[in-house]
Parts: sequence; C-alpha cells; structure tokens
Amino acid sequence: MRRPAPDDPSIDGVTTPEYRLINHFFHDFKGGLSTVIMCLDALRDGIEGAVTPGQDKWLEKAERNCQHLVSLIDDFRDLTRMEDSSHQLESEPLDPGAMFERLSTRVADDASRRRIRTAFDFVDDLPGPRAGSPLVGRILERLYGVLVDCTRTGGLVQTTVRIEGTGPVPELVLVIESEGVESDAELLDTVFDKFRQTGAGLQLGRGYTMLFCRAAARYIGGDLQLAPWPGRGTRADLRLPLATTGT
Amino acid sequence: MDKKARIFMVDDDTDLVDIVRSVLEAAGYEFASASSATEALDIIDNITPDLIILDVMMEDLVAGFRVVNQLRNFELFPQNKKYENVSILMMTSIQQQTRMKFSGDAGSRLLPIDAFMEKPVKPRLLLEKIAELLHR
Repeated sequence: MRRPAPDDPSIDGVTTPEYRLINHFFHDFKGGLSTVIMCLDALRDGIEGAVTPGQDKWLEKAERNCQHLVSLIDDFRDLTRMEDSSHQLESEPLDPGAMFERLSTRVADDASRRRIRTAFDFVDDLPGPRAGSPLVGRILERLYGVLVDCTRTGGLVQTTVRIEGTGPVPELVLVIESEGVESDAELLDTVFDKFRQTGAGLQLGRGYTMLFCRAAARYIGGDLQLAPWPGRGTRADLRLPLATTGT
Repeated sequence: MDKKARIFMVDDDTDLVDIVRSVLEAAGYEFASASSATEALDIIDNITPDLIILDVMMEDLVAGFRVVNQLRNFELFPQNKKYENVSILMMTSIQQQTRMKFSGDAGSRLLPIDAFMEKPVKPRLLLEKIAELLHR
C-alpha cells in the first residue's frame, strides 16, 4: 500500500519560515502567470471558437512573453538557491547531438524574426547520450536569448562547438559571437554584477539573465566569460560539463 | 452511452478552475471543484470523482499534501479506502520552490499520487494526461 511519510525531512523543509516566504513569493507570481498562459492556450486551441491567423499571432506574442516571465521567475528562484548552495544538482539523460539540433533550429527561428543570421559549426564527434544537468539546456536557451537580442538587425550570431577532455566528464566548449554590442573587457565583466546598470546601450547587462547563466554554469562546474569581438561585437566563451558533478 | 467521467478539481485559483472547467466540459467530462483542502474533504463524498486534479498551496502551504494523506493513508482514514482507485493528478507551480522533486516522487511512498504536472500546463496535454489516467 502506498502511504505518505509525514516525517520526511523534505516535507519539514517547506514549513520553515524562509521556505514559507520564498514559496509564497514565487507561487503568487508564477501562479498568476500560469493562469494567463492557460487562458491563452485554451483560446488558441479554439475553446471559444476558431481563431483567425491574425488573432493567433497576437495570442502567440502574449503567450511567449508570459512564458518569458515564468522563465525569469524560475531563474531568479534558482539563483537564490545557488547562492546558498541549496540548489539540488539533478541529472537527466542528455543527448548533445539532438540538443544542438533543436537549439540551432529554435535560435534560427527566433533570430529570423529580427532578420538576424545564425551559423552553427559543430565537431563531428559530439558524444552520444549521457547524464547531464538540466541546467545545461537552460543556460544555452537563456544565453542565446540575450545574445540574439543584442545582435544588430541583419547581424550574425555564430557558434562553434567542440568537446574538450576525454574523462568521465568531458566539457562542452562553445564560442558564440554576436555582431552588435562591442564593449571593453572590463565593462563586459560588470554584466555579471547584481543590481548594477552597466551603461546605456549595453543590452547584455539587462536583468539577471547573464548573471544566471554564469552562476548556473559555475554551479555545475563550468564557466562563462565575455570578451570583445574586435570590430564586430561580443564573444561569449561557455564551458559546460556533460555529466553532472557533485551528485 | 458511456458514463461521463467526473473530474474533481481542488484549487484556490478560481480563474484557473474556470479555464479547466471549460476545457474539460468541452471534452465531455463532468466537472466539480473545491477551492480548499478543507472544502474538498468535506464534499468529496458527494462528488464521487473518477479523478482528482489537486493543487498544493491553498489555505496553507501543504494543503494539497493533507488531501493526499487523507485519501491514501487507509490506516488512519479507513473510510477513504473507497478512493483507492481514484487517480490523483497533482498540478502545482511549487515543485521547484520546495526541496521535493514531485515528478520523481510521484507514485512513491513519500508522494502517493498518480501523476504530476507543473503549471503552466497546456490544455491539450492536460486532456491527454487525464485520458491516460482514466484508462489505465
């Protein structure tokens, strides 16, 4: 017979004052947004009748922006947990080849809305399916979101991907170059500072996304650095271990 | 004609309940709801549901867990043995706010539910999950 275990520490954990506070904070934000997203989804599915292509276009925009807010809430929440080392490192099956196929298609679709070109250059021997942190996919998704956003219209986002290391935890090494925002190295590093406006025009410093990407990369044993791409824009060097460490 | 399956949703977000009601009724299900764990446990005998969609944070942080406990702990609540085969689909946005991994714990001794979905849930996926739970 299946029975709950009320004395389990993971249930006790949610009743402490800190968890009560953080639970309510994120629950209230995310709960409201989730309801909006479900409304939009239901409308797009035709719950009140057929939706015209024009109506669907606006509903899609609203839904995409709500999803973005949900993602920001998730990132901010997990950032707070990484800072006190309480974020649990999980492991999931990860297929680098399939992941990059999906990622490159999605990035190209997003970029094409702003007439931005994308180019991906992969090594031929990406490792096969293995264990990895769910943070890997989130970091890549968030990082590309910012880099595409700060690329000038008509510009290029190009990526080279290679694998370094042959041990049990090889590293995925990405160099992502974006045409548009070029700043000196010192200023670029301030992008990762909390509560700091990094200056007009430096869109890379908006919000918490870059901060989250670096913190998450380091939390799983990787790193993220930004550097100028002389005369062109910005270069991001991202290293991510392909097997979860510390579990 | 087959009897319509009756879905009982327990959630304090009345707007969300309205949406799910519309989606499920349009798909041919009967629908009933409660806005708290206390209300759910008070009226469940009148509802006799085939499946329960359950939120976690309602009148308190662990209200949904209390419903699960009462409906699945037959030693403490033998009168609820009749709900043994009623599927519980937990649908909440708090998974990541707690230390629990609901998706991994679903069906375990710790979290004796039948399925877990994290909000926001696409209506189509919700319908698929309900159909799967009702027909297994």
